Amino acid sequence: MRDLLENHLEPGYQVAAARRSERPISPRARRLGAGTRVLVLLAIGVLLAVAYAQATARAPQAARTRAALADDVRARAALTDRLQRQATALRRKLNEEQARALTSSAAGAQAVRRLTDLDGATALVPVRGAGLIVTVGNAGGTPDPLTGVRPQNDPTTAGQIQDRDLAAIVNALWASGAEAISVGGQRLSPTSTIRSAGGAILVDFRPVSSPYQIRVIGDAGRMQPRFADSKAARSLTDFVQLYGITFKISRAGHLELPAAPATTLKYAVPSGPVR
Amino acid sequence: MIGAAALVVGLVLGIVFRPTVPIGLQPYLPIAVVAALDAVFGGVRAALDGIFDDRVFVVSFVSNVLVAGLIVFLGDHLGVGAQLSTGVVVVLGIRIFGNVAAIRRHVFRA
Repeated sequence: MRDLLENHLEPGYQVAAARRSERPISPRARRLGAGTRVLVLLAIGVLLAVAYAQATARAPQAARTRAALADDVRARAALTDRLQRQATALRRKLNEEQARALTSSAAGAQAVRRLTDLDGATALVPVRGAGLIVTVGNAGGTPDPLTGVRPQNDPTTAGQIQDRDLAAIVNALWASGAEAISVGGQRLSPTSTIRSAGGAILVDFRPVSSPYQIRVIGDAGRMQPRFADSKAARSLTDFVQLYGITFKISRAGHLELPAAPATTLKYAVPSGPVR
Repeated sequence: MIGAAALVVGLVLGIVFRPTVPIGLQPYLPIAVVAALDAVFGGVRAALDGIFDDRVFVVSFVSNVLVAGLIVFLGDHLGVGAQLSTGVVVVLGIRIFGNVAAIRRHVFRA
């Protein structure tokens, strides 16, 4: 250890110098030595250049890939948003045309009412009304001892809302008499999914983030006690105590929920004529 | 002087021709670079001390690179490659620092 820290020079240089002072070397050997020295230094130069090229080629490659993927994701999200808005507008136009065509007769008017109800129930059109807002959020985590900042959305800590928590809340809300629900701005249709991929929760394959705001349209006076008494709400209340998550239910006089992404039937065919 | 010129020519050659390193040798590239730097700074210091010797320089470079590579290779097969790489880098790093300090004393007399 001591030798390592004190003698940095190859001991060979000293020995060679001593040998040389005893017996001078021939000019031929000197030329040969200079040649090998040049060769070795050439090799070292190439080595350094190659290592540099490797280092610069590798790091930006990873960064470039990540940036390209992120751009891709954003572009696709914008595209689906635009298509979704277009679909909603077309849907509204279609409904208006349908209503105009049908309202000439009493039976037609009844059919229009029934269609409008069904469209609302299947989340094909935006709806509005009074109801509840349920907000759940991840626990803040323990504050950093140096900075005092609470880490947000750290997927490694306990107290993270999971996809099954959101699904349980949504199911309890349906059971309490909800007529329309949106999670993080995503309207739920009869075939909606809530699942997780990596650290993110996806509602119909669109990511939502904490705090999760669940908007519910329904009879608030009836839904609130029923939901508060449900298993999902009771366990969440326990988690508030245990892990420090946030969980809040409040009434809202006026809520507007968007339409859900349109579902197309691929295998099921409606049986009988639609009345 | 001719040595410095050879080093620069080597750098230019490496940049111009961009030789690709075989995948199997890539883990040894950083170690080889550190060993090469150790040999270069050792040689410069010896030259400033007036005791430079071609044979010692060439042999020390080749053996440094080979031994460092061998240690890492063995470490990889024993499952302690990362630790042994660190060890090699620490030992060679101390020598590089010491030699650069000696060069600095020669050049700046401080």
